Amino acid sequence: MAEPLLSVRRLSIGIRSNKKTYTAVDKVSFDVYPGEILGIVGESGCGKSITAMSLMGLLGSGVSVTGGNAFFEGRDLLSIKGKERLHMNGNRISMIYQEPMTSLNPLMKIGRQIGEPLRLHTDLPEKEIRARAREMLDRVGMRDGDKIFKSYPHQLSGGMRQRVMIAMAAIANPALLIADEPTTALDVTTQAEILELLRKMNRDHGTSIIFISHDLGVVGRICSRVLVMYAGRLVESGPSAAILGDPEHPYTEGLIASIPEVEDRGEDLPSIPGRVPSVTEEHAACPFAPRCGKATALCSKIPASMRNVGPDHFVWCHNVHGGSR
Amino acid sequence: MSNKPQKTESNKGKAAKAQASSKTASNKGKSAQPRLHPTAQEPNFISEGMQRQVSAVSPEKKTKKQSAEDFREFIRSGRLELLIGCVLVAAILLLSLGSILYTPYDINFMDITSRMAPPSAHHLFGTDNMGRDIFSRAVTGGRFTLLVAVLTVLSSTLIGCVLGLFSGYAGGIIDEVIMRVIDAVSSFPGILIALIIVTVLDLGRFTIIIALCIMFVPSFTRIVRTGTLQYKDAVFVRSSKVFGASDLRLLLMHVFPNIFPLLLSSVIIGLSNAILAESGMSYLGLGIQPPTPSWGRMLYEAQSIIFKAPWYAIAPGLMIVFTIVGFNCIGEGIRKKYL
Repeated sequence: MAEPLLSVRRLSIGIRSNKKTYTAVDKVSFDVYPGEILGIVGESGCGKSITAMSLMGLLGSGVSVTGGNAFFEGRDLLSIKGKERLHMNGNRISMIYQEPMTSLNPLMKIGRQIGEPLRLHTDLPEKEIRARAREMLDRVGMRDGDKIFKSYPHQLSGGMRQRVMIAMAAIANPALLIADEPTTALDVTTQAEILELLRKMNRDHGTSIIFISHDLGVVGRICSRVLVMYAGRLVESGPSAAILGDPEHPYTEGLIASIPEVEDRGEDLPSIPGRVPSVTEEHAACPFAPRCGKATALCSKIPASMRNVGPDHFVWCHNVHGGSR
Repeated sequence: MSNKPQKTESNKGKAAKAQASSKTASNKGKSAQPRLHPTAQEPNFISEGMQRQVSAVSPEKKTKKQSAEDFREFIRSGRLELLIGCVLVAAILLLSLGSILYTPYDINFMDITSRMAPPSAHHLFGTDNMGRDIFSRAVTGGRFTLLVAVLTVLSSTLIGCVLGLFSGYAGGIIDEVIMRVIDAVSSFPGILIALIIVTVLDLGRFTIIIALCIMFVPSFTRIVRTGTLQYKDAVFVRSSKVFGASDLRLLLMHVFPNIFPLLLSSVIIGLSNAILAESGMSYLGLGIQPPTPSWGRMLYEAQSIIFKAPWYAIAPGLMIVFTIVGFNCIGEGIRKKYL
């Protein structure tokens, strides 16, 4: 395979609270290749968003990277600061997230707002920036572009605002776009349109996308590869067809079983018993062991090593037998 | 009791008219009721009459009701206050600025023959104990008072914005230090600060501006800091960080414009407070020095001859009242309309 665009190695993130540091993300490693859409799935509180935020350098106070690297275009995203960071954000790597209603400045007109990344990262004249911003509106599939261009955010619906966010994230043509649950706050039809838009961006401009979601169904539709995270650790990774079709880890199996299917109408939706452990809780060697039907004594003692169960398909579980690496 | 039957009589006439204009079977029965018990049903009667006015679609009456509605909306939205405020402030500003070009008399010209003359055609507001024209002095005094107020508010807003934005955005120990210093400053009585500064520096127009500025900075700092805290974690501010905006740009482009309406209304009200404070200082002799007129100074001078020439106190007093009411109305109007 080609050189990875982003290569995250043993990323750990700690949350400091009451003079103790809790591990929110634990030695996570993954690669993003040019032009692919990588999905990261897991329940709320699994460390998906915090992983994304660490790549953007936007961890809140009390949250910090405690180890690891993330190489992107020859730089370590986890350690760059100041000017280098400003140069990176919005220019080479961009992000959209799940609150389209509040993620636009209420006092800035859409046209001006979309042009912001260009204004920040290029020396283009204002006229050119405006022209490009206007063009972006068409590219993200907005009808009535001229009108939208002059509107304020409150005049747009959630779906339209998310399109504006995507336009803003894409205007500087970044190499990597992180989409943190971009469709969660939208209704189903709008969801499908936004997904299609992301896929189009990926296809037309070769933008790599990290697509974070808790919805395996959505991830399966758009991503080529999927990472499954649980309590800050990777539990399974592989091509989305393999993950959805032939899940190996009991957690992934549980997640897939809980996707509603038309055939199962009227039946109770299966769910994984228990809940995601909070970061402040001590967990066993395998954090999923307390909720796992197949857990053995070994699971609570020794962390599982990575096993290769198929082409590019890895799983971290004692009960799965494959070539360990 | 005597005018009640009369009232119902006239209402009856109204009802009959209204009924005539909209003869429908449904309200025929209803309108029969009040006739049976005219006095008891009076309120009901009137409201029904009004209902019919609407349903009868007589355009003249509709606009009447609509205009009443409009007027209530006009008051509720704060536009009335804005209007009153703007008119008052504009009048004061015109008079004060006009005094640069023209005053009926020289402000220091003493007409010994007509000392303490009551208001007349020659001297609109009368003359003071030295025979100076009070009108000329009052409008000129307005110029100095307003100048001091505007400069004070501008400089303290500027300092307050810088401190507030910085303090709120930086947070932590920096915020703590700045805010405790602000607390310390605001816990001093304003007069005391003015006295200290006047002792350290010299008496004069700029000394009073510095003293007032120190008095006003804390409130602006607090307002801006609160706003900054409110917006610095807003998603759109975070998203501008995602797109690579520097901290300064973030504050100026995304945080500050959102605080601005709140700040504007406090700035306007701050202006009126500054005028009051300046007048107070000048009254105590700490502010603008004679012979330059100022409203506060004039009040002080009027004090000793209050019974011989009460108009001397009334002129600057009214000017102060109108200005304060004007600025407060504008401030309130802005707050009601935009916040």
